[in-house]
Amino acid sequence: MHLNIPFKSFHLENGLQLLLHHEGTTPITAVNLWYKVGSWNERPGKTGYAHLFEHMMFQGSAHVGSDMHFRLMQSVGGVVNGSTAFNRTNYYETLPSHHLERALWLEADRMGYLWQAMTPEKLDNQRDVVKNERRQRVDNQPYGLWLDKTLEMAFPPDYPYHWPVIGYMEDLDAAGMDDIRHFFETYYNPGNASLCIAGDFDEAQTLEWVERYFGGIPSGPMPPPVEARFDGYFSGEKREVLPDAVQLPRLYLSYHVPGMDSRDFIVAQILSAVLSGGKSARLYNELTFKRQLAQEVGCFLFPMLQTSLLMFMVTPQNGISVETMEKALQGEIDRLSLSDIGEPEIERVKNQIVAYKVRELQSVSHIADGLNQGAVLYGDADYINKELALYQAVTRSEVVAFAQKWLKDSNRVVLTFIPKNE
Amino acid sequence: MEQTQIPAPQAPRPFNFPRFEKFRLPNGLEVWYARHKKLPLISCQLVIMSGALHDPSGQEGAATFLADMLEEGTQKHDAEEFSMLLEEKGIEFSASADYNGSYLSMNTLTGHAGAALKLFGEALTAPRLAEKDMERLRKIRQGHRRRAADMPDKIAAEVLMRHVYPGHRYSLPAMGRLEHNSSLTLEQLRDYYRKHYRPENAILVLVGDLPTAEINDLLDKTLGYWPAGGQRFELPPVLETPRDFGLQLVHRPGAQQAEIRLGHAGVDRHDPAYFGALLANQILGGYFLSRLNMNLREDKGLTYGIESRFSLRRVTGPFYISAAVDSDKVALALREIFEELERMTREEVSAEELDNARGYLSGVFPIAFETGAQIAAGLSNIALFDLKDDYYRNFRAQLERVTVQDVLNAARKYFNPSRAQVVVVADREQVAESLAEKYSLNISEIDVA
Repeated sequence: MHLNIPFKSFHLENGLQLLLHHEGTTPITAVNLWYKVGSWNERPGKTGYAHLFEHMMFQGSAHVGSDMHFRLMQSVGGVVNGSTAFNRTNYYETLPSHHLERALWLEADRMGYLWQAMTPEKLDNQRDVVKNERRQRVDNQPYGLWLDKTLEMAFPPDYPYHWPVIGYMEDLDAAGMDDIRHFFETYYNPGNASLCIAGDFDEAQTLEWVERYFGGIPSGPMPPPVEARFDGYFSGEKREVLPDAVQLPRLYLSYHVPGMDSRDFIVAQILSAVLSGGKSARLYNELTFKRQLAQEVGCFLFPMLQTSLLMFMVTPQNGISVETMEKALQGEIDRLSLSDIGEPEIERVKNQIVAYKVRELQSVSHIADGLNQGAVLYGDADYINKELALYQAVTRSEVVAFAQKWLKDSNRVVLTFIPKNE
Repeated sequence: MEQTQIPAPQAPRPFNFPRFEKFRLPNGLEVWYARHKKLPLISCQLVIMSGALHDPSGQEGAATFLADMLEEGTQKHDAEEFSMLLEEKGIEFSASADYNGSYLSMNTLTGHAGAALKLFGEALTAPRLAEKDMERLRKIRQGHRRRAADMPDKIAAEVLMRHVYPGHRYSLPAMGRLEHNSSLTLEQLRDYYRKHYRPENAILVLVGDLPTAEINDLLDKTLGYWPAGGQRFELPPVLETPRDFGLQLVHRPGAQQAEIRLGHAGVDRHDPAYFGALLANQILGGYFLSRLNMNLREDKGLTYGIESRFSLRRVTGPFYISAAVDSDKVALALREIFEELERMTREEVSAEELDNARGYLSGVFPIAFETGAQIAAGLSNIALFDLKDDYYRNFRAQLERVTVQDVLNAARKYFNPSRAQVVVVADREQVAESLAEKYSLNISEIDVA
């Protein structure tokens, strides 16, 4: 099976990349804007700023009142949000297609003229909101510190994957107007962004709007590159035990693997699907179904450039010790290196990926995000059309070789949560 | 300066919820089919018109446990083989139940439709229902129950339902409590299956791009042998809900936030005031622009997000407000929540607020029905709630008719601050003193397994 998502690519004079994908079945349009900035671009002591800045982007800009962004979008049925990750920040809205111009106007205003509308009161308000976001998602959740702790163990303090995207409370407290301004001037430039419009629109009209609203934004300086390089592979196993207010223990095993911009990462995705892509995948089948040890078990990859983590998470069933659980999980990890992965397992995974990718095409907002992911993280918007072939080319022996090379004890960190009252 | 003008909209392109065909298989099973030409995918959902509300007393959790068992193989294929046959073709299959009904859902590439529907039909009509699978799932379900105590939002939601619906099935979670999951027997699940999983108590919803004749033929081969018969069952009414305000403080030692739920009985979807109530809720706490969110988040920074909703159920479900807030500002948050709730019943909303809320619900409509699976979910709702076939086609016209006076009337009828039940899950040491200044507290330990 071959995917073909047709799109056109343009560049404005100020450097903004523009991608257009026309699909007119439903009268809706997705506007999707990626900036190449994330927690990767932060420094120790100033963590969480990329994400805090994302919040500020919804607080109005020079020609848009403080709550007008949401008002202008939601009052016509627009579905609006943004998200911040390690290597990128995205902003997206899907709306009835006859309001497309409004969305372009809003995105251009905050790209070009955000700073004029910024106030310390807005910053204080969103700082409180983000602190509550962190409490709600991290500090007040069972096993909530898994990500903070894993990243701290896996990466050195000055390497930018050492801290979580949402940042630390004390750094959020310290964020000032100068920091916001610095972020805006350094990273929120047309040349550091990619705009994708997917769905129902008139091409000539849309090109004219994009030029009208975005064309006048100065190109600005190129952001400084992140110089950090990770060289901590195979540097010895690290372990930590964390008591938490939970009923059942849980284990997180994280292996250093190459980043998402590598061929190895494709192989790793096949490997993780062999392990946890459904009920017939190994981890569920062996540890939950046959041996009935795991309450839940999974394996996934962090979407990070340069270097990444392949993570196993397992919660033992009530009455099963964490030691027994770890031994059983280790058995499954070791099995991968014994070259007993079968062709049918690989075929199943590939068929699942095809069906999954076709399902994703149902939504124009997914397509817009997919095109921009290729453009920003892989430097190739057409990546969306090439990706399937990359998966399909992976062989059984490559998956085994990957496991043999990377899944070594010396290349991992292990975090164990235990119930506080034990 | 072009940037100073908000661009005007273009002419909208028409869109509506698709029309669908209805036909019956020879065994009486009613089929609703909507043709959706976009991608080679088929979405399919079998709705059983019985769910957790039909759990026999003392067997709470039977409907959801049975649904879990329907994923565990058929008389022909054991659980392991069944999963493999689905997953090797990338077919998604799941079974679930809630208070309203029970559901078998499937999504497949059209090229595998024959194989997929065959497995779907087997899971429905000839499930394996083996003792060893039940014992295996029992452990997982017991684990889910034990772990509910870890999650502040889950604790708050479950304790709220106990106090809004004492004595009714709604006071217990759809999956039942630990004790139910420990005592349910396979024979009880089989009884539920034999009684409720019958063609006359079911509707099959299908969305995809195949000619009707082909669909008919496929279904005949895969579901045609399901024996005819069955009936629909009555739903247990809610006889009474508490008349007096109450506040429960659940002590969660070391909590980093205060999890708030408050609510009372909600709205019947068939009430003529339903669309007024829907818009009233939208304005109060239904979206980002709502009064609660703009006040508690965007003005005061007390929370990452707050929302209100009517939980739509076949027997009137609850209205509730939920938020996680700063523990040291929980009294302020409650004061603001009640002020917003009361203001809805005191005075008319502005014309602009109503236009925005209506504009949102109306504008989001095509986005809500973009995919085959979304359309299938819409059809399932029509079936489950016994709505008119053109319910969604008339949805936006219904919204148009609502006036600010209708919103006020609906708010007065359906928002009752003085009868609200409030649950706060937080560290007692951090919140009890400030709450006690205004409310009389019932303090308890976590008890939700």
